[in-house]
Amino acid sequence: MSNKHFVLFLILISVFGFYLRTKNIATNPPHLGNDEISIAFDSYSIRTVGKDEHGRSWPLSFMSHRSYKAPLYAYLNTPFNYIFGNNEYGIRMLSAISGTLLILIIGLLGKTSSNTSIGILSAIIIAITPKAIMASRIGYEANLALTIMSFGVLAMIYYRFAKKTIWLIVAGVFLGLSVWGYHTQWGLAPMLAFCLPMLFRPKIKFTKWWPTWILLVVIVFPIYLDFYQTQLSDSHNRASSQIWYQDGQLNDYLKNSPDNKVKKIAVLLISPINNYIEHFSFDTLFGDGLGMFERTSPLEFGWFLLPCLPLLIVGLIKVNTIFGDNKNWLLLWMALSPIIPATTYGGVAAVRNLSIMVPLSIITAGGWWYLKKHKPIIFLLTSSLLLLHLLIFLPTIFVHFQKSSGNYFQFGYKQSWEKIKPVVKNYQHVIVESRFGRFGQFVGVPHLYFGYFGAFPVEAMQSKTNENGRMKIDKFEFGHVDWMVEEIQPKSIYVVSTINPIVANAIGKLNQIEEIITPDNQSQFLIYATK
Amino acid sequence: MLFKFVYLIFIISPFFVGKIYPFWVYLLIIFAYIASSKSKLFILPVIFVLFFVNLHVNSLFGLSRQLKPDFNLEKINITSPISIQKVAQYYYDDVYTPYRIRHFLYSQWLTVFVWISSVLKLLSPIFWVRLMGFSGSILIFLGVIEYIKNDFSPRYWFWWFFIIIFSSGLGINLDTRNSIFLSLPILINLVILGFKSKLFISIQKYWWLLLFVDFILK
Repeated sequence: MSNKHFVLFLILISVFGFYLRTKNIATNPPHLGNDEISIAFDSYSIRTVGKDEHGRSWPLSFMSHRSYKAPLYAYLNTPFNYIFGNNEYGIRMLSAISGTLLILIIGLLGKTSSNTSIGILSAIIIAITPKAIMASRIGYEANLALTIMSFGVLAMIYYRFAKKTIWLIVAGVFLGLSVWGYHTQWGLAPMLAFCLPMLFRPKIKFTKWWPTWILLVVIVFPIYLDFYQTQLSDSHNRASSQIWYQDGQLNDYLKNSPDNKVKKIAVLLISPINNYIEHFSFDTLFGDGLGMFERTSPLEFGWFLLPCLPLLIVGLIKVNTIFGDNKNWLLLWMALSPIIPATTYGGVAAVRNLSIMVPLSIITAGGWWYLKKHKPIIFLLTSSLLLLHLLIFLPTIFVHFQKSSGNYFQFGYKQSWEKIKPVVKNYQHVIVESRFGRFGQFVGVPHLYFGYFGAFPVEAMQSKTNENGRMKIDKFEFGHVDWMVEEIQPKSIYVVSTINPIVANAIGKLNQIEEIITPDNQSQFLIYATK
Repeated sequence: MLFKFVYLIFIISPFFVGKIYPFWVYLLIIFAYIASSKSKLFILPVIFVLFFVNLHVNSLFGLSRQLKPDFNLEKINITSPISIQKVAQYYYDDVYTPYRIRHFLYSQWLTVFVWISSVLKLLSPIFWVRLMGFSGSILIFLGVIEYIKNDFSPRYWFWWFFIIIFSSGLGINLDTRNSIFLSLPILINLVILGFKSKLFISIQKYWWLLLFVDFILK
C-alpha cells in the first residue's frame, strides 16, 4: 500500500470514527454527567472571568467536588465553549475531536510498529472500539490526556528512526502536557519517558534523550507543586483519597479482623497487584466491562468487541513475527498502563486505564493482519464476526444506552431548567431539590446544571451562600425540600424529586406545572409553582 | 518430592476449604480420569457425563425421584427469565431497526453473550490467582504453555477442561471453587507439567517467594 493510499484510508476511517463519536452527541448520553458538568462550568467560568467555580484565578487544578481535576481540558475547552455556547457540544466536542485524533495517531503508531496495513487495521480497531467511542462521547479529561500522551510516544518512536532532535522536543512537550490532562498521566507519562529510552538503548544512547526529560520536568513541575500545595491545604482531596489503602473494606479488615499482622500487611501490599491483574480480565476487556448496563445484561459489551479476542491472542502469540523489535515498546506500554490505576481502589477503573487501549488495538490489528496473510478463511470469518458485533453494538449505544442511562447522568436538571426558563423571570424564588432517582437515592449537583445551562453570571455563582441547609445563588436555592416544614413564599417555583410530591399545606398553595420524564419513561422531577 | 509440592499447591488453594462434595463425585472423577486416559473411546461419554455432573455440582441440574432431568432454568444465564425479559424489553425499545432485523436480533440467542462473559471470567488470570494463589496459577500457566508445546497431547485434557469451563459458565452466580472443581485432575496434571518445564527452573527462586506469600495469605 502506497503512502497516498495509507493517508486516504486513514482519513476515511477517521471520518467514520468521528461520525460514531458525534452522532447525537448532545442527547446521548442523555445528560451531562457529574464530572462533565463540573468541567463544563469551570471552562465557562474561566472563559468569562478567569476564575473557577470556587473563585480561584487560573488554577492548576480545578477543585470541583474536591477532586482537584487536572486543568488542561477546562482550558482547552474554552474556545469550544465560546463557539458552541453553554450546551452539550460546548463540553463534549473537545473529547470527540481528541478521540478522532487518537484514530490518526494509532494509525501512525501501527504503521511505524510494522507496516501500513497494520496501521490501517489499528485505526479501524480503535475507531470501532466501544470503550473508545464511549470515552469520546463524554467530556472526559482522560480521553484528551490519552491522545496527547500517545502523540508524545509517537514522537519518541519517530526519534528512534529519524534521530531528529525536533522529535525529542515534541515528545517532551506532549508527554508533559498529558500530565496536565489527567491524573493517570502523572505517573504513566514519566514512566514511558524513562522506560522507552531504556528499551531503545541498543540503538540510541540513553543520555541522548535529555531534551525530552528536561522539557517534561519543566512542564510538569507546576502540576506536581500544585498537588503538593493541595495536599497541605486539603489532605482529603480525591486524588489522594482514592489510593487503594484508603478503601473502606480494606480498612475495615485491617482494623477489625482477628488475622495476624503479617497477613494483614501482606493483604495490604497484595491488593494493588490483584488490581493490576484484574485489568487484564478477559470478561472486562471483551465481555461485559463497558458499564453501559448491569453486567448480566445480554447487550453489555466489553471494552473491545468480542471478536477482537482471538485476534489479540494471535497478535500476542505471533508478536515477534509481526512486530519484530517494535514488540518491546508495545508490550511495555501494555504492561505499564494499569500500574497507576491499580494503585486506586474500586475495581477495574475503566477511565483511569484508557491508555491500555492503544497497545492492545495495535497488537489486535497485528493478529488480524497475520490471519489475513496466513489464514485467509479465518480472517474472513473473524472480520464478518467483527462486523456483526459492531452492528449489534450500534443500536445498543444509540438506542438502549441512551434510553436506560438517565439516572447515571443525573437526567432532568437541564430539562427542568428549560421548562422553567420562559417563566422564571416572573418568580422570586426557585427551589431545586438535589436528590433524584426512582427512590430519590442519588444526590446531584443541580446548582452546576442550572448555572451552566442558565449561563448564570459567574460572580453570582462564586458569591453563593448556605442558608438553612440550602445553597443560595440569587433567587435560586438548591438542597432538600421537606414539605412538612417548608414555608412557601409567594411567587415560588419548586423542582422536586418525583418521590417527594407536595403534601399537607403545600397542596392548597402550589400547582403542578410540569413533570420531567426520563428517556425510559420514569418520572424524575415534578415542577410546582405558587397559585 | 514433586507430588509433595503439587499437594502443597492444592492444599493452600481454596479447593479443599469448606464444602465437602458427596463421595460419589470424587469416585466419578477418578473413574472418569482412568477411563479417558486408557482409551479414546471413553472420552466422549466421559465428557457427556462430566457436563451434567458439573451442572449438578453448580446446582443447575438434578434428577427428580422419577429420574426425570430437571434443569434449574432460573439460574442458567441463557434461559434465565431476567435475561429473556431484558431481551424482550430491548425488542420493544428499538423502534428504529427494521422489523425483520429486530425480530432476528432481539431473540433468545442474544443471551449467549452473558454465557460468553461468564466463560471469559473463568478464563481470566485474576480468577486463577484467586483460586490457586500466585504460585499455583504461575505453575498452571507454565503447564498450559508446555501443553501447547506438546501439541495439545493428551487431547482429552483439553476437552475435559473446556467442558467444565463451558458448563460452569452457564451459571448466573459463579462460585469460584464449584465452577472448576471437576477439572481437578487436569489442573494437577498442568501443575506437574509446569513444575517440569524449563522455564520453571529459571524462575524457581522467585516462585518460592510467591509460595511464601500464598502461605501468608492463606
